[in-house]
Amino acid sequence: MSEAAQHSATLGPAAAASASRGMRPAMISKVAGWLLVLALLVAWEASARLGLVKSQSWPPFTGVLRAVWDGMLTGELLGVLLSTMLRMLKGFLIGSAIGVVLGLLIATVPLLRRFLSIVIEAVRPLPIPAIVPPLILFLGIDDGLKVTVVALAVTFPVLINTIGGVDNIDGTLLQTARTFRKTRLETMTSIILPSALPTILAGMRISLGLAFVTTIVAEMIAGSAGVGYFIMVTQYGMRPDQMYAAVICLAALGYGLNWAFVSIERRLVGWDQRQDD
Amino acid sequence: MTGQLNPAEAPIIEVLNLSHAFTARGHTVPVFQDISMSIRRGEFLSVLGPSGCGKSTLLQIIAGLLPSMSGRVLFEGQQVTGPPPEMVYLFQQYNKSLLPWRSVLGNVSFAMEGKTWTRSQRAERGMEYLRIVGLDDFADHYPWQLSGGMQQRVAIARALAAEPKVLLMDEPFSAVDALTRLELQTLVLKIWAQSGLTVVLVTHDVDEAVFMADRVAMLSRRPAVMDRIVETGLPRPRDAVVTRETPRFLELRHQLLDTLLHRDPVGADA
Amino acid sequence: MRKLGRAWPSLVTCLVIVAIWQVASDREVVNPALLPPPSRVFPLLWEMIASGAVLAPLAHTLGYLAAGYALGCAVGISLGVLMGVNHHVFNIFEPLVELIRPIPKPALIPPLFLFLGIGTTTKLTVIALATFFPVLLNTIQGVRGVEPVAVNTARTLGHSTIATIVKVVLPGALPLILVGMRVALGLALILVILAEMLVDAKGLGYQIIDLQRSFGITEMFAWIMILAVIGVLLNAAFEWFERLAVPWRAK
Repeated sequence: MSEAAQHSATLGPAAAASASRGMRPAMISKVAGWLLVLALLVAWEASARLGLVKSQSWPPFTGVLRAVWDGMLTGELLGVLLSTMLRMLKGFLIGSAIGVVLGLLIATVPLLRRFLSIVIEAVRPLPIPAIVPPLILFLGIDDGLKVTVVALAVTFPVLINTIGGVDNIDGTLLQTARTFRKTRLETMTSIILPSALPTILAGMRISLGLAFVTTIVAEMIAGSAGVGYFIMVTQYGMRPDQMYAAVICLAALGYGLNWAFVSIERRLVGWDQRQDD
Repeated sequence: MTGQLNPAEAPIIEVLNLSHAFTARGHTVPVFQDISMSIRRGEFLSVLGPSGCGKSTLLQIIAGLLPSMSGRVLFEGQQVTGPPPEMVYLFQQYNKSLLPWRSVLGNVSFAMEGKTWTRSQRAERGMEYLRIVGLDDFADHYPWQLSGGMQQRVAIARALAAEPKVLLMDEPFSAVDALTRLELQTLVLKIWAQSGLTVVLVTHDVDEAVFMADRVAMLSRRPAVMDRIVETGLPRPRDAVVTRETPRFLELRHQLLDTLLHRDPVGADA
Repeated sequence: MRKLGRAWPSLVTCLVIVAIWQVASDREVVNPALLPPPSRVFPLLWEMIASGAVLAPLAHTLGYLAAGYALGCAVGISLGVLMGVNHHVFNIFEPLVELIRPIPKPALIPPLFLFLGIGTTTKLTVIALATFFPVLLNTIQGVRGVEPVAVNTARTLGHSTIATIVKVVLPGALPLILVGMRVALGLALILVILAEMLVDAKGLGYQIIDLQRSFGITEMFAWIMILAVIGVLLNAAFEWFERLAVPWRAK
């Protein structure tokens, strides 16, 4: 209908100029962005090498890179990262499973919803670090504690999104199921679950980030193993190069985790044309 | 410049050899080519063309909202490089052009901000313009509380409040129902007759183009060129029903539809 | 009345939970030394509130939360608007943002601690950082999603770039900015408590971890309950603020 779908809104003369002169200025600012990163890294290196920052806790960037390399070769850092990942995955899977099952129940059984909704709303805003100390009393400081904390943190976003996903199912679909005389269980597995899946997965993506953060939080508070503990120990022990190495590895892991989940999500719900954010 | 000419007779807008193209998947697709026309001061001009001929793009270039790829637009002798304060563009999508967080009066005041008016002057003048479009009772409402036709009337009041010399209207009535469209057409004609505005109306509706305008500029299919400009010569004031039944109206409608449908004239043989 | 009608089943659930907790503690199904019964936690909680003992730690925590959160929001919204409006600014900052963003913010507490020392500055910085990223990303997205017709309308009505940003772009982006601010509020609360547990000697977080270590279990539970109430209140306050700030969104 409307032929001018290209209503372009531009603010200021910059955009108009680049439209007429092509891609050049955009390329320049993109290069400038990476130069900025490079400049900050060089400044880091120089400030440490030239002693501009007089501190034992300020290793040069190349020193940190060497610590990453050494940590991988000796297996110390690698082992610590792997143990954190393993705990996180356990907690994530348990928490997601609980969240989905409980969410489906609450969404489809009105009585449960009425008795649980405000309780969930009341417990949900409690910040995770606060539940670690009491749980230490019951579970000690080993893996059981951390997996439990992560599972608890993961459960709520998955639960909320599962309920939301089921609530938003098109009524026509459910009526279709009824006209074909599907049983409750069949409706659940063939209509409700797949329809709610995109929303559930969106909740799980949020939860994955949360699981990552929570694992590290739990390891920092109740230290016995893992990257969170490693960062605390290297800070106390004045091994800053190893501490920064661990932080850099965490950033890479965080990036990789999100990328991995988004690719899986695309494969599972590629049919879904709605925008989920 | 030819200083001897009476300024009232010099064209208010001159469109000189405008061409436009867009790029899709690496290919450059021409939209319109070498469009030239003069718009007279105080006239009502319709720009008519099939979908995809770039008439909205043309209007946005005239308004200074889009940069021109080649060719120029002169407004009162000055080349247009950005939106001139005395030309106001009225969008088809009233639901997007009105600010949802402002009341009806607040939306009209929006056109007067950044100028010398005080807050109370803005409110007072805003109410006057709302009275002109018949919405003074709805000043405190929010846009989403009004019907589509009423929203477009708010947008018209807002455009008038900017006190432009030229009003550029981009298919302003195509998103409202048929009856409301007739009412809005009559309203705009009334405002135009009383204000001395120059109006350029872009439309793909032949009826509307002929009914409203002094002249109809007809664009061809893409890549569009200026097909012809015809004087309607219909008497004013125009009536939503009677004018549409006059022989001249029917004749013009017939001619222009033939051209739009891309066929030889039917029943008009020599 | 309707609201009360919907609330009573949940109230029943709460009472049942408290009752089970009491019985479990009385019958020593769980060790009452580890999970003191409500009959001990609630009176202590009341005493703490009545004597005003809650005030100092509460004010400490909320003060830093508010300061760090406000700082993070201000910087995030400002840079977000610039990055959303101008693609050069976006190109320049995007690599840096994308490199720092994936770092889990709690892991920054120890390095910041080495630099900024114990307590205040570290806490403020890490809360602001945790707030900054969700606010920034949502602001950029919100600014880019602003209706182009509205922006062009402002231009054709003769508004300057600055006026257009203030009057059209910012309010248009506000709903998404608020989404980012809500996510950020949860993160900021996590980080203020964590930072107090790790590098401070005041505030709610410190109280909870310190009481756990010194085995003041009943009082620890009282503090956790206070924190839970704070969480609920902050959420409610945010929802109220959201409705106030974007009333047109409700329709």
